[in-house]
Amino acid sequence: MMRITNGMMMNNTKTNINGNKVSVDRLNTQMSTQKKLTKPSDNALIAIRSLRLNATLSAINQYYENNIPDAQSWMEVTETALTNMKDIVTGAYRLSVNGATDTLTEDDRNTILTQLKSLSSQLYAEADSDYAGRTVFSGYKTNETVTFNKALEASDAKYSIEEKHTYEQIEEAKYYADKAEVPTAAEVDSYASGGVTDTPDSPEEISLYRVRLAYDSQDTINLVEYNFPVETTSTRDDGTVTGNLSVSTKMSTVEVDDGAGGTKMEDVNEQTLTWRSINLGTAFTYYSTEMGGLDHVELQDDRDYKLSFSLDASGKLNVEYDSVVLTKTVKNNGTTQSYANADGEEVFRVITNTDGSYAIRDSSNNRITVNGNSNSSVITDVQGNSLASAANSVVISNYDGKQLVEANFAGTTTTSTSGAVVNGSLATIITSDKAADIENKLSVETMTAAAFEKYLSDCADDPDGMEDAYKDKMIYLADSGEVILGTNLAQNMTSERAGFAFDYDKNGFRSGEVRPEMYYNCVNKTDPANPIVYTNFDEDDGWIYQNIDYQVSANQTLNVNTQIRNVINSDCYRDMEEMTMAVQNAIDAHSSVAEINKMLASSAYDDPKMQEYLKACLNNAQKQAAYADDYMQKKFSSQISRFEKYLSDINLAITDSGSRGERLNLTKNRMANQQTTFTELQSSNDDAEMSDITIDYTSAYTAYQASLQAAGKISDMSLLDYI
Amino acid sequence: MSTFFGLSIAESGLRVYHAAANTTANNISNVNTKGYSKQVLNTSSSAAIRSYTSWGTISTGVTADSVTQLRSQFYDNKYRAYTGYQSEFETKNEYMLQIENYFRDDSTVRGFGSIYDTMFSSLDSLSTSPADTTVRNQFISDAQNFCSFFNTVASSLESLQQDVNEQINSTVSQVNSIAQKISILNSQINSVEISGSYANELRDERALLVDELSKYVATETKETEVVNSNYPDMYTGATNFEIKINGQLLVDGDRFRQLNCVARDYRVNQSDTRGLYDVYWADNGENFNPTSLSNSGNLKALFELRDGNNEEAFSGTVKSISGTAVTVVKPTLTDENSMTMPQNGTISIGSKNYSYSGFDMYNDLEGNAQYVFYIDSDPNGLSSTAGKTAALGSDIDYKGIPYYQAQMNEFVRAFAKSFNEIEQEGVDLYGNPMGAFFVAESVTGSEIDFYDEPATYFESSGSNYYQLTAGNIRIAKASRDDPSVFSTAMLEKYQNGIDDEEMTNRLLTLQKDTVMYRGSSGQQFLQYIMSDVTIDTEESQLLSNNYYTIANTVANQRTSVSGVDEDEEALDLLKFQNAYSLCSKVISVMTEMYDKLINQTGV
Repeated sequence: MMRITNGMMMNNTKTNINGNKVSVDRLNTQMSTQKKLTKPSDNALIAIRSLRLNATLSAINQYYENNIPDAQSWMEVTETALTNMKDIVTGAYRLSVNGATDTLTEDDRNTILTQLKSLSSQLYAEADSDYAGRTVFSGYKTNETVTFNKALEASDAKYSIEEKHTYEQIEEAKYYADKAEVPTAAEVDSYASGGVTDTPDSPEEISLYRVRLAYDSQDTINLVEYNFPVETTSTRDDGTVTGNLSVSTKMSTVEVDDGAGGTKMEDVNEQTLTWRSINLGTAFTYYSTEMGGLDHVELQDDRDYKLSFSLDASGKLNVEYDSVVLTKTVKNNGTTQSYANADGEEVFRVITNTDGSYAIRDSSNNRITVNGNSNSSVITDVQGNSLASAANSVVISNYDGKQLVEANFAGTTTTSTSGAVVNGSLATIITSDKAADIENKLSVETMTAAAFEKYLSDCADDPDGMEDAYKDKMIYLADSGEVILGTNLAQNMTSERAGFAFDYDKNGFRSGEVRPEMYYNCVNKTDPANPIVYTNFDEDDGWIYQNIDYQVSANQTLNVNTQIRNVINSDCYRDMEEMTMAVQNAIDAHSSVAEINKMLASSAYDDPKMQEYLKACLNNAQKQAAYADDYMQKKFSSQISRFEKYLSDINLAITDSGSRGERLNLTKNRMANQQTTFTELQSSNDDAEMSDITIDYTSAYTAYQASLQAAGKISDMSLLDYI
Repeated sequence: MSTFFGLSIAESGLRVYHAAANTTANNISNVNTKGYSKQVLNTSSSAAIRSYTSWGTISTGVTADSVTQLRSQFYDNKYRAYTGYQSEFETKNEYMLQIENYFRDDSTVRGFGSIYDTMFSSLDSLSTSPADTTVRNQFISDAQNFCSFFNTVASSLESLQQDVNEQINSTVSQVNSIAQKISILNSQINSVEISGSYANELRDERALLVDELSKYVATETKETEVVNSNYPDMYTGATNFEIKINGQLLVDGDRFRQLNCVARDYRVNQSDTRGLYDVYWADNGENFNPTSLSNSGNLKALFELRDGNNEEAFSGTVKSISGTAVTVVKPTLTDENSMTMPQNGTISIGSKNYSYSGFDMYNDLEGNAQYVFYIDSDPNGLSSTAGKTAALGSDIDYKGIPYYQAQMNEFVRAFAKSFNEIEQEGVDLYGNPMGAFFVAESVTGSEIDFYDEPATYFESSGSNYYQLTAGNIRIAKASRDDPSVFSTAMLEKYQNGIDDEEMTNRLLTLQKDTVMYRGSSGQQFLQYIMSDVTIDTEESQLLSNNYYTIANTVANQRTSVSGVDEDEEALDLLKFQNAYSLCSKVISVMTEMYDKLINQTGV
């Protein structure tokens, strides 16, 4: 039997008491903190799960307590503004109905004018609504208001704006030649004294096709892109007319297809063959002839020598320079044919595909691009390695250097009709990316307001002559921000469903005008050193949405903002402006009539000559007033449908915003549930179960008491006490 | 046979039981003396006298032979082994609880998890309102908290390392002092025992010192009897007491050795504090190597805590030497984020140490990483080191302070890099290109913004993420001073409007979707560290408890042999009292007998 000493017993008792104390302490801490763990190492599993739950809960709290309420407030502001806009446009709609149907008194007109002005300014004030200092309708540009609302800033602003239009925006507009004016006393005197023998011309209404741009008072205006057919006949020295070329231009590239409206110039991947900056030395014009082959393009140099490439139906690649035909027969479909230089080295090969398309590759089957210059051309592969230096070789590659049409004159000397040796100096192709080039072809005229008045006056005098003279022309009216299209042009465009883009500079805006960056691709040049480029449309003319997305749950983002472009058409502003102008014109015309009447009645103009002159003026003024009334009525009546459209846009925006608000509410409920769930989970993970703890604590405490009692007993007595 | 012989027998009994009672009294009075072993009086019956009578010999009473102590060498050894383990794990537990506390994150202490999540919540708010300076400020201040968390933990770990280091120093002094004391005791014991008696108290004192020593280091003792070399069978009474710690001789009889703490003048790990001690033997300068597998005790624990790198020290093979540049291939660390080597320090090549002033890393033609170390000491002997192993510090299989420092460094580097790389693609509110948002503060207080870092070539002195540590991560001053200097948009997007959220959305993915640390996201960083800490803490707690229990059991067993039991002593006391009384009775009886014989017999 083991010898037990009192010391051992005391020692064991000590250990046991301590053990009991540890568990009492642990349970006591659990009871007072209500947590299972006092430190992570108590239970790594629970501790780490707690961390995970914490992270999730903190994310949910962020969504539920910050992002969602924030998004809701944002959308409330948006919806309020949208509802207000709806009311305003409804008001404008009612006004246009009134203006279109009723016979108006002067008072009516004045009232309409006042109302129109106030509605117009209110509409855009609503567009400037902000949530906590951030404009809600301006996309990512929340620090900018939608309109210029500071007069100084507006008048200093300098922009270059690009605007796109389609044939649908071509409208018939009425202009007035020889507007009637209240004659001055001097004019009346002059007529009476025989100084002037004619009475003023009577006003005439001229009807023209126009496209209205978003802003008036422009500085410069250019047409930068169009896709309607332009007659570009080109005549060679010998008088041959070389036909049509259909050209579609973009800012930096020129796309060519055949002019016959038929086959397109395509590369083997059926991509429209596009080129840019193919520089062969000198100035260039290009055109295409009536097409015979599948692929055909012609170039013409500054001496009008023509270089053409074509692959005909029989599989021949024809290269023609100034009537000298160099034909390389491309063997029939599915074959590859090599072309060697004078040294017998393969320079390039033509691969014909079964579908009739072809590719020209170098001897390693790499695609080839060639830089031509005036004296020689170097054929290089895509890596830029020179394949052969071949004088008189020309290659056309597409604009990203991938595909080509190529011809090699190596070893061939062609002579021009004039007998000169034509080695190189073939042609220069310059992309017509300059607005001027296009305008030259289009025959565009820029007119000041005065010039336009003169033009209108001429039209009144010789309607048919002027119409004929301008039938294919385009007139830029920078002052009023309009483009007038000749009848022919307008009809062609409509029939061709054409579209075009303009680019104009505008220095200085009116307070209340919409900032161009809200609607258009534009450049803010206010600070010339730091122009800011705004891109609102992608390459395919698609609107780039600037969606402000709030993270409202772990895997859901919600677009909270509505952009002004999707609420109000930019035309709305100018519509209201033109309506205001129409009313103003009517008011002015009527006051002219009244004033002339007053002059007639005045004793100062008793003289019969004077009376005669004034009566003529009165006639004119009355005619003018009748026109103005009619114009205003028509204008207002045409606005009815437009405002209906604007209203439906706003309603759509309200519905859209509302449905997103609904979604947000659903998410909010879900987040509320999740918050509860995770709080419960966290609590069940972290928090101590009180009833369990209490029971454990009681038993631990009892054990502790018992161990103390035992210790007391043990240390109480030993045999020594009995001696 | 003397007539009065009986008196002499009784007298021997009186003397012996008096001595026995004294021994018992000594036992009782030392019942609570630490290290005291129960002493017993060994008695034997005195040699008998031949009486040449028919009944043979006459017994002569009792003799007290010696006072010896009850002590079991077996239990002593066992006790010391387990005390060593217990104190090792107790020390680890004590420090692990502190480390655990630094990483604590719960309802009472805002730790990494809450700080990290708060920072990303602010970033999330920022993504809904990128241009709002107030929200920006909130985020930047939360990001500063993030940096402060790492700075604080890093400096706590650093001072903890310093504490451990100081404890190492004092522990080594303790060991030295114990060695000295024991050697003195050895000679005292011998001088007592050579005369044939037992130096019980001195032995108790020595055993107690050895017990204490075994808490610090693994201790083995060996006591051999000293024999006369001329007469090998002759017992001299002297013993030779030998102590080995960590397998190395500490005390040999009256000779003892001393350990020296030598402060390093270099760092082994990048984030080490200066002046860490290495322990060498004072006499021959050999390394004490406290972290060897066979060692135990608190010194080992302290070293593992202070230097433990989870066996992730840098090592590689020397490929070539060119002047003082040593090319090392097949390195164990190839990622600048996980580099733990100090910018300059000591590298061991073969078995020699060389100090280096810097290193480069780049990929060779096959894409394998290789290092070049620039040795600045005398390159003699370097040329023949090709093919040898080059190492920095040693692999220590414990997740100690350097491990947590390295993990934090790795995390902040990966995080800062991912964050900055996104930031640097954008522009701030003024439209200026954004620099690094998280920067490293150099020792001179300037900002290192990681700009010049070449993609293919790593230089230890370069402006790279290697310079960034948990201790020096800061928010760029420009952003701290002006919340507008923080990028939330790319240049082209910025031009399209300040509230573009693409950048912030990308930054938000860093929270839990971007893999950046140990194959997982930033959010899991704490979980990893936490599981490292808690598992080690739990383990040290468990082992410390287990060894405590075992040591306690052994202690009980030891007490069972050598402890003083009051009941037993009381019984002994009664026993000896009885015997003494009886002896006294014998004398009385004898006296009466002599009285009868002398005064009454035949009178």
